[in-house]
Amino acid sequence: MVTAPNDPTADEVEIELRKRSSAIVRFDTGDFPTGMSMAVRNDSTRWRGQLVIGSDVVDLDAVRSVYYRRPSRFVLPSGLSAGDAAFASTEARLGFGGPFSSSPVLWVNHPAKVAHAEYKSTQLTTAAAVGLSVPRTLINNDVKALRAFAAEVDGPVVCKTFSSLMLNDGETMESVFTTIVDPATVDPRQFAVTAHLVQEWVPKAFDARVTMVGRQPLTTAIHACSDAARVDWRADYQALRYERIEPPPDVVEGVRRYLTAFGLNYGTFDFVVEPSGAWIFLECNPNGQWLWLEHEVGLPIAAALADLLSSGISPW
Amino acid sequence: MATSDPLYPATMLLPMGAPGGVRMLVPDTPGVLRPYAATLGVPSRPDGKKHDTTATKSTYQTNSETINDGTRSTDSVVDTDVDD
Repeated sequence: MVTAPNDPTADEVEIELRKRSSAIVRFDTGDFPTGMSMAVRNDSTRWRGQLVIGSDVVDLDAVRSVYYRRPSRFVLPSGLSAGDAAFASTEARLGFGGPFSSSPVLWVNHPAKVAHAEYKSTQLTTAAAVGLSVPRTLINNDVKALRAFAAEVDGPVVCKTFSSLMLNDGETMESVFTTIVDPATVDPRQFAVTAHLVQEWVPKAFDARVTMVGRQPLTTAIHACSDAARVDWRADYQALRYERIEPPPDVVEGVRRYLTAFGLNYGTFDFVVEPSGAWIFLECNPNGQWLWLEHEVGLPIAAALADLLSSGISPW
Repeated sequence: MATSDPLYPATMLLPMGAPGGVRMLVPDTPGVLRPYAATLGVPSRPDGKKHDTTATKSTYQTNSETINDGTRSTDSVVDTDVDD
């Protein structure tokens, strides 16, 4: 398990793995190099050797699977200049990360796969390619194109971000959620500053989150009970009601093909379920949170992850 | 891959200090011109039920962390463990 030390979500997976008598070593990339040493050698097509973290020794040959969940940056020894620290950090990423990430084992998920799968533009085209329905979407920084798109949609449009940045002005934290916008009021200069993602507003009966662990869908309906949550459920967690549901078979098939296309073994898919019952794909987070849903509706996600990891076998 | 690659920056590869689904807290004093999407930000509400169970909070630097006299220095980016 490669994760930050204070991660309750990873704790749950560790508990489930120990129930299965799996041999586990949990460490953080932040342990390297001050709390971890490594020595690996190339042996034909793979790297062999050991990582030593305190009293734990990881023999790369003995690893069957890796749960890679939000570990932290390398922690370098004191006494380095800023330049040398940047140099050492880059060398650590390539020198430690290269051999480690090349391990031919089951990854949940491999960081390079996650990086590729984070592009929402690629998510949308991949989702369409595997047969999922997606909203009409415009990515641009030209307000004229925005207004033309809105006219074509002939209905509400939303603006959403590509990332999940929070801003802090020193006093308050701000989050940017999906927002219904009026194209006529958008400042062209602000819109031209960077790329913006604009999408047709999809009327919804409710939201659905499909947490895929390997081939297994674990699905929750998210019912919003406030105006803010109805547009973006993340905006008001207090106004949500959850319900365990089963997704339609064609959606299950679509998300399985999606994960296969990206080389992922885990992903959290967000859908809008229209009043007609149609499921519309919004996005897939390859590293999405899940523990609160396990607690809300009893989804056995930690157990499913432990089953997958202890098997060491690709679900695909 | 070069660390200066604008499409796959080092932060997106191992170790992932900035993984998907994590909101990165960016200290910010808005200037006279802002990205339109940033102007749509709203003050964060108090933590909901979700955070009763996912209290992970990790601190990252934009560059490497260093330890001086046993104190880990940090300057800019906090993983608030809020999901996408």
